[in-house]
Amino acid sequence: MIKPWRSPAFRVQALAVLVAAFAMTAMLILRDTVDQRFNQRTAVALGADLILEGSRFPKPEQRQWLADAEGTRQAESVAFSSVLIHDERFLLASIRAVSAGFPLYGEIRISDSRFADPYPVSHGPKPGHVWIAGTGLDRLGMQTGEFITLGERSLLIDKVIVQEPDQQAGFYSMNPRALIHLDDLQDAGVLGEGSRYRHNLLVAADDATRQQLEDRLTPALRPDQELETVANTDLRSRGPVEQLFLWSQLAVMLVVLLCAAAIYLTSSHRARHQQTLCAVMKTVGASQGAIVRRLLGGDALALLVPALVGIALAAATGLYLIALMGGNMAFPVMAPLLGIIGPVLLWLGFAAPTLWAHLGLPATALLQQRENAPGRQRWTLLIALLTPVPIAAMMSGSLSALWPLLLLTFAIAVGLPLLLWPLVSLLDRASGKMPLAARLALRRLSRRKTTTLPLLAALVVSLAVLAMSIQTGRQLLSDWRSTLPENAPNYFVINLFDQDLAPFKDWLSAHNSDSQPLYPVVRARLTAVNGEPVREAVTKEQDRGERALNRDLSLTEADTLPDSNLMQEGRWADRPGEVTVESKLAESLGLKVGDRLTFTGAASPIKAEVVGLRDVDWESFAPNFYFMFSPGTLEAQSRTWITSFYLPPEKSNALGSLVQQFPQISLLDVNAILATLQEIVTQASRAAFFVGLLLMLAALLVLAAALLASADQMRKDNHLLIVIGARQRLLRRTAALQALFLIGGAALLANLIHFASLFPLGQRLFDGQLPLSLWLLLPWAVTLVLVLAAQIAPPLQPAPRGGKT
Amino acid sequence: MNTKSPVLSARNLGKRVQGPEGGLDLLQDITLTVNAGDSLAITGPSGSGKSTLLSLLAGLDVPTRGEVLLGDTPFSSGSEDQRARLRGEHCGFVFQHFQLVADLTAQENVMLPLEILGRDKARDTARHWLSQVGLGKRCHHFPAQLSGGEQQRVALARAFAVAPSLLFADEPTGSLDYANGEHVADLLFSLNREQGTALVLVTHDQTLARRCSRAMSLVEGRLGD
Repeated sequence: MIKPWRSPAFRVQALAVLVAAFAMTAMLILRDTVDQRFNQRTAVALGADLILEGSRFPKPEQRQWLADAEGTRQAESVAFSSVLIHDERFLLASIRAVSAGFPLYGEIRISDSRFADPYPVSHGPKPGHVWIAGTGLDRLGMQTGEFITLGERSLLIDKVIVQEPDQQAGFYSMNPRALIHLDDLQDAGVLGEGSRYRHNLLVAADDATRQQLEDRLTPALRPDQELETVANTDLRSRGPVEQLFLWSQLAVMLVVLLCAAAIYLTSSHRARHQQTLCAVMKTVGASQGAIVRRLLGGDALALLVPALVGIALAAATGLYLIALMGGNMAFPVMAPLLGIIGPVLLWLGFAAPTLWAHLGLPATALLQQRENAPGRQRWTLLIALLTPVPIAAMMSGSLSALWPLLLLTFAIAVGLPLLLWPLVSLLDRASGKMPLAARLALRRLSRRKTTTLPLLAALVVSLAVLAMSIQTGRQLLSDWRSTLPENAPNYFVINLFDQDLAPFKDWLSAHNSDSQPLYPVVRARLTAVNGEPVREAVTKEQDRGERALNRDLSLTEADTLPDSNLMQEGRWADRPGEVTVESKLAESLGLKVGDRLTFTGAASPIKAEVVGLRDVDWESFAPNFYFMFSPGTLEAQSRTWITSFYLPPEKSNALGSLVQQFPQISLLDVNAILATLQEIVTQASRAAFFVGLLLMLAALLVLAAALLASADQMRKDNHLLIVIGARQRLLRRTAALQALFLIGGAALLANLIHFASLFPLGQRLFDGQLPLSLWLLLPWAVTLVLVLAAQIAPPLQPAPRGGKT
Repeated sequence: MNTKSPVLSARNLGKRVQGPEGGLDLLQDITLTVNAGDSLAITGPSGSGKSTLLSLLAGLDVPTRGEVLLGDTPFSSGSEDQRARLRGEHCGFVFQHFQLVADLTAQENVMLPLEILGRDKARDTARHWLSQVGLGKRCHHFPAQLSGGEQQRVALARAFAVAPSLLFADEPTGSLDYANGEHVADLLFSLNREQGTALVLVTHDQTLARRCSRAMSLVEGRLGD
């Protein structure tokens, strides 16, 4: 196991195996860990891993199936609207009756009295007690410690609800919320035949049990029932996460392919140097098995060490990641075990066939260093091309995710070199006119396209990713924030009522606060286009359209076009019964000027004709809407109001008085959102930087392998140059120019990609200005280092004959 | 360089190396002279030190004892760059395995020594010499596109392009079949006569050696007639 390590080619191979093992194992661990974390968060948002939901109580057999499931925790809730009564005061509340065990995930934040400090609890109210949201107490004029009546039941108000862990409420809840114990529901007698309520059976279970329950319950669901799980819930919104995984897997695939290229090149080099040994063993009668063991066995065993080191490093990284995420996750034990398969596949696909090919050649052919027969070469190439498929399958974890990953990998790994081919060919032709050193340097690259093009592509991608990730993480967002006007709104307020408008404006004046216009908000759902039900009318639905059709929308009316909007087609809606639509939504729904829309809200239907399409600057800090009606169109609807305003940081204490004066409002702190966004962007950039470093390392490995593979030829060429009179200066200059052309060329192309990525950012966030940065020079810094190294290092020359003098 | 003095002379040349079992004399007391127009064949069995002698005479290696003079100029002392300069200006080389740069065309290979020396009109000179060796229409072909015999002719053109006073040839026909070998040998000797170059030829081939005006035999590191 020691002998192979003496070979520089083997050492490069070992490093490539280490990097590939690390990258693949880390990816497997990351996927599993993020999946766990996502499921945990989704479970908290959902309130369970599985919910059997219906508009009536479940069937007895359904309850029994759930009761029989081992290793689960369960709870039950019934949600309905009803009136809470105290003396002559009434409150229509959104009530939830919950069993013991609720909440299954997360905590309820409550306080002992209105405006007291909140604290978390992981249980619901006891029988005979009720918890009410602060806005409910305000409307009733009550406080904790008093009794209130629900139906036939008198309940003690003992806590104030501040926040519930699951996402049942949302922003636009008109009715204050209340929690009671399930046992009190029957005594209250508020639910009877024909009552409207939603019943939930909540289950916390591991993936396998959840799947079993899902398989059992699904065929037996009543028409009114739904089964929502952490895997299929709309709350999951895994689209962006899936995208992130795909790009991460693509990056790891590129790292692995580069390592594979390094392994392939060094294997060819080692095979050439082992030809004599193989030939001699054949001539003295060694069996194929003995030759295989000698040539391949030693290498395979020795490569286990770097593979295990790479896996161990990935495992350590995974443990660190889990600790960062709070530590409530199981370490994915299978990932390191699967991770060993990767290096084995790489070696079997890219190293073994090259070495194996020599076994089939006669001894004489080996001694004469004849090339392998074309048939054998084709097999070697075919195996190399097919090897990435099982590796991609391993990383993607599913057939549906495999094909996009393979396609993208192919597009970059093959497409980018193909794009670079004409450029390199052009330089090859132009080199004829160049001075000697430049011509030699360029020809060493342009005449070996099968090595140069993938290497160039690898360097371009890694340099671009490195530079872009650093600039994004360190600078871009803070630069953008510095472009914002000094008094850009930093708070949004929603849920103001009609009677709140005047006092709210007084509050703003009292605190020298500037605000955007106030917009009325009506909640309604688009139900028809030109008289046709919307599901039939809209045939083309993209992501925006899908969201617009399946939920209540926030509609508004205004007499002037907001500053953040620009009419693209038609005109502003200024006559009764008219509406303008955001242009991209209109496109996704197939809406055009002249269409007649029908919305169904809490009151009467809203009908309007589309008279214009608008472009909206969603990044402005003003309220923006997909649908804006002409003044008066929404008069008959129940509405709240929204606006955004600027409050100087030193006056943020005043927000307490705002909330006390208007207890039903929700305040959105834009700064907090931007801070969270900054954190997300920083974390994503760190991850991208890490990936860029891995890519760079892998690219440098390929560079080292390519140098090793061409070292013999370079020694011969350098020796020839010296023989015919070249001095050391020419050799060093040629080596430095070769590095400059390759890495400098990659730096230039990386810069172009970097610039191209800044254009849309400049247009959207920086008023058309390019957010330039010194980080654009990072690829050139790498170039400078490598060119200097090439200039300083002694040129490759053959060793003197006959030993030392 | 003084035209009346020998083009190349070696005096008491010796080369000793340290092997696993102590010191080993590869060459001992080598003394020879080569005048302009001379052709000297050095023959000997494998391991007799022919390649070592060629390296010392060509200034590619430094002797342990003795000296080599190129004309009147010491060739065995001096820095590597100084020796390279002298070599480039006065010597041409033809090798057994052609030693063309695979990444350069035939024309560019012939231009190589001229560009190293910074000579003007390197391109025109290269084209002239390629025509001289019968490859005027193959200027832009790469070595991989040429046969063995053609590659060796390119090597000949490269060797003569600098108008050397001394030409070293190490088994110039060793990698060629009989017909090609004869053709290359004919070219070598005819160009040599035309240019008045001194030729030092290392070879196993006795037929080739007999075409030279003198022959010396190297046996166990010593030179004899």
